Amino acid sequence: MAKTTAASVWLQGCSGCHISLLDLNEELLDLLEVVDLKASPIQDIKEIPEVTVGIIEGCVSNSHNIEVLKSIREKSKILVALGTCACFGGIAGIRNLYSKAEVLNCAYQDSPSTAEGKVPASNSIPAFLEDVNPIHNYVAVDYYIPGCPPLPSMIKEVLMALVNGAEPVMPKKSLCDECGRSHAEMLAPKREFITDSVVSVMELENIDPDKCFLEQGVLCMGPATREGCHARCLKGNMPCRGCMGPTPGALEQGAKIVNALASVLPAGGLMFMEDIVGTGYRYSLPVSIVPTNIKKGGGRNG
Amino acid sequence: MKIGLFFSRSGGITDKVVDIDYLARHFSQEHDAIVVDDFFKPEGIKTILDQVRTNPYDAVVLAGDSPMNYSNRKSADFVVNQLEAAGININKINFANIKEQVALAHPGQPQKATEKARILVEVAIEKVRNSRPVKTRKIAPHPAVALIGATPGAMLAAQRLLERDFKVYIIDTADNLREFRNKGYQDEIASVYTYVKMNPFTSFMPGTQIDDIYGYPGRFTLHVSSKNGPEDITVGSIILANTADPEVTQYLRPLVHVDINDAGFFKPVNPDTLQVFTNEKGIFLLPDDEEKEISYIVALSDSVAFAVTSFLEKREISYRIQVSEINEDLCSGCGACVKTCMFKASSIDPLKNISVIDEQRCKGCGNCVTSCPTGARDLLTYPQKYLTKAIELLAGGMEQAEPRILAFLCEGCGYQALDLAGVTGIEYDINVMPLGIRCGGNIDTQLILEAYHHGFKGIVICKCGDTDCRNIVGNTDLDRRANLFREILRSRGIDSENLRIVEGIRGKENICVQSVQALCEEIKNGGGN
Repeated sequence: MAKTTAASVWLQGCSGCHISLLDLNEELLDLLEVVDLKASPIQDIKEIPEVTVGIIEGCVSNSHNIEVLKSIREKSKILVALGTCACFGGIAGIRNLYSKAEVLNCAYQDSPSTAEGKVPASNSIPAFLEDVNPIHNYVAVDYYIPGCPPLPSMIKEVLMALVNGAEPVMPKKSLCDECGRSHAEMLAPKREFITDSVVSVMELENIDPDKCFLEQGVLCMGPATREGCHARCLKGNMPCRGCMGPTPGALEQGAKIVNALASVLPAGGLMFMEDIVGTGYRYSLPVSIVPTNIKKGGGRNG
Repeated sequence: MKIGLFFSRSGGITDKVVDIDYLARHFSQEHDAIVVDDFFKPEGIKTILDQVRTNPYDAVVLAGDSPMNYSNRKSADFVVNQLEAAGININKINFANIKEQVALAHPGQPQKATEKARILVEVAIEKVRNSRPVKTRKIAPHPAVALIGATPGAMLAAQRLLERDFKVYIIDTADNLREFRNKGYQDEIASVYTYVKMNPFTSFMPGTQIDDIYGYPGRFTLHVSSKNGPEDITVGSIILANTADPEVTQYLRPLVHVDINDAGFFKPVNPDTLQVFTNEKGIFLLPDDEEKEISYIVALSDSVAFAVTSFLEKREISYRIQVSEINEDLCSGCGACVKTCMFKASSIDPLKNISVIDEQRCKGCGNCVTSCPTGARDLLTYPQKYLTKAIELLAGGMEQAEPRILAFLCEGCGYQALDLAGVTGIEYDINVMPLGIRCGGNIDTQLILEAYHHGFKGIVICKCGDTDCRNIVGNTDLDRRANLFREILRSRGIDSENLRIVEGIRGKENICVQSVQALCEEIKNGGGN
């Protein structure tokens, strides 16, 4: 059987998704039995040939990203968004709350470590876009593999499905489904809040590894976050921060966690309000219903 | 989907402002659009039914009177019942309120009013497209009645019910029967007390607390406890007789789900024509006032006894299961719905790890739909998809000459407040776009964001007063969410002052209309985004 051809690129990202692919370790060999990776940043081949599967890591943040994205779309029969940045905009998307000028000034002039900085300006540098966008805002995307980074096994499963001409199956439920911690308080039909106070995880003297974080008074994005990550953070005794993005039944993640937890945690508001974007929209601001600050350039974010 | 769309001229009232014939022509391109003079007159109903019987409609939209008029007026549900009998599911029958909320509210602006009416009809069509059919349970009524409160009125009603061979439970927390303060009155009905006391079908339950009520109209289960221990009784109907005590009323509210007024007393459907009826099928009211004339109490007792009798003597009672539904593919068993539900209707099935709904307890308030973080819950009658689409339609595109305001109106208070403004001739800005919702607890932060996303400049959420929310905690949960969604708005540079959460009507003041009007003016004078 002929191998399925594939190519990958990274746009604005951290290369973590490609590292996750490499983290398949020896299983990578199984994958390469059936997939011919023609070009990728791993091999440092930038010229993209015609392939069956195009894989994109990263979000769109500058004009060069758009160019690369459109070219791989043209060359690929199937396009896969790999990782949270490509799917939802990711961490970099938080800059949508600020104007382009604010972001550039902050990075090149106002940062504490900068002395006499200057915003670089040259025709040879790709234009910096006003907003970060997920790739589907520019090209048609066939499949999404969320996660920051996605599980190596999930990448393999999706690619193997495509090789076999099958439809990749993504989980639809939220992380609570696979978390496995006990949550007896959450299941008690009582209107009382489940804890007396809300704390950050480092304020806990002992973190109970078997008990729901919400019931220990710690904000966890698990209820509003798609499962499929095998609850790695929870197994490492840390609450979910929501990198897998919203479930397919929700319009957005931040609004949904607010709706869900307002009557579950006491003064849940306070913890949220200190950093509502960092809590509810850390990975998914560019795909939220109002994806950007509509009053850029002024106001409290100025 | 084939939709029958009927327009009412409302005897010339709606016609005077809204160009009904234009609307009928406009919608006739896609649907059967028929104009009648009045939905509540025999000729109008006949035309509708003839049309429905000869055409296999999947849904019917009645554009004319407020939906409230079909439930708050005596026998006005006749037209709806006839449509149901003709085979249209209740969730596929909807109303476009182009009389109270358009024609009566904006009499001086026929052109704009017609445009607004067009949008409201579009929204109404969208609702029948998205609503899922409601299932109906057929219940054989149980020939027993619980009278809560051993008042003189209850004794009089009990006597009537015993005459018709019903088993009667008279339940009171006190140890003794209550009597008229006026000794003369009490003497006049002493024989009634004797009759009721001596009847073998009477069961007195003094010193008894009601812990729980669930079930269906026609077959309720009351879990009660007294010094003899706990006990379950089954009744077909409940009469709330001890209604003069606000404390008892507060205690019973979540159990019976009957609306209260702003003074804290149970509210009849219509104080003039439906005084003993409540918004809950099978639960009736008997005003309790020891100061009232005996003739008044006797008349109402007869009235309630007759209402209960006609209810329970039916061979079977149809009850619509207006619950929220669960998408099992999405539910993750997190328990947010369990924590949010006031009525203990949600639980998580331990084997399947998904949420289940107890249809004998669910009131369909939608609070769990809002709280569900995966979108696995939805109301049959107000699906999220409909609400999202309705907001887009009401916004009418981003480029509006004048800023539009979205008014979320809860069924319990807000909707009635805006209707009342039309009826009493309080005009308000025509750019206020009404959207009826089940309850303040059903306001999803996503919907608020959608409204700003589609270009609304301001939002008014009009809900019940803090103490009289129909669903007890809808207001509480809306308030708990409010600070958080205001913060989300602020993070996007949206002035959250342009989001107002107000009551419908307090005393004689129509707070809802005052608030939408005030917000409109502020935004026109330079506020907003």
